[in-house]
Amino acid sequence: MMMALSISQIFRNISPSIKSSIIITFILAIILIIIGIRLRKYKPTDEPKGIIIVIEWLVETMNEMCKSTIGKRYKKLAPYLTTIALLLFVYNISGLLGFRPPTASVSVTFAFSITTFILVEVYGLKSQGLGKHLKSYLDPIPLFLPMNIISDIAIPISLGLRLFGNILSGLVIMSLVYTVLGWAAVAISPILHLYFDLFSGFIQTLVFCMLTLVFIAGKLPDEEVDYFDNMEES
Amino acid sequence: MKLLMTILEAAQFNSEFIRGMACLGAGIAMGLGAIGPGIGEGIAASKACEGTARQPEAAKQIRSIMLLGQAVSETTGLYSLLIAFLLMFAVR
Repeated sequence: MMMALSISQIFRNISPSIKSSIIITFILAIILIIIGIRLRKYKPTDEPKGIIIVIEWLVETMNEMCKSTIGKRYKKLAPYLTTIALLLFVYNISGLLGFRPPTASVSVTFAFSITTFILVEVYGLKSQGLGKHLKSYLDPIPLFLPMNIISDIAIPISLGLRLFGNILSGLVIMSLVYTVLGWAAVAISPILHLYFDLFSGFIQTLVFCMLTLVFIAGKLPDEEVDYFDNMEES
Repeated sequence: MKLLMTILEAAQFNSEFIRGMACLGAGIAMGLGAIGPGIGEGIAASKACEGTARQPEAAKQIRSIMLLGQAVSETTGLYSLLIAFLLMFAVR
């Protein structure tokens, strides 16, 4: 029975958002592999040029951002956050290339936000230990247990729905403009693309990354996340 | 008997009635839901204006913090947008 389902049939049945997410992820992976091969040839003493400058700037910026928010534990988080930021940004602006943005599908955004949720809980467990982590749910008095649990469950829901709603509203308004104006939409669509795809996509990427950092910082013990100390060190 | 007939007659209009009410609800949800984020983002922008006027050298940081806060407070408006979409397309 399963053999009857050919690959083309499977590909036809999945939704357009997932389809474009697969295509974009593959293209991005190929580009990143090529950049990685070029980076391996590059020695630290060489003069950086071309794409290497961009990659260096990106890594530097993400390192600084993580360092200023969560302190000394930034080293393991910065690569993950850079990956998420690149993927989300390319997903959000893929409307410019004629794709349906993958983040306009609830399943894609919830995949991102549930990953963040697991990461937040893992950071809480690793930094405080199981006992203290469970005890933090009874903070400040045991009566607050349901509220603490709700505030934890609200993390993936709010993150996922925020991204989904923003990108979907942009997509709906764009398709309304294209449907109503027809060929005349060429006159105003560049400005709308600039706002809804580039600006909104960038802001949402930034917000997703910052909120991930803030939620993780909330799980860490207080002495690690002194904002002003971290700013002076970096 | 007459009451039963009336109820049956009303039941025929039921799906259309629900559809119309759902569209009305979508409009109300979007209209009322847009008030809060609009006021909130306006307050954030005005405070950022004051901060930049008082301390022009911190303009860059203030702008990024303002945009972050606005994007977060926009979420409540997006929730009402999602509810409006649900009412428009999921209720039949």
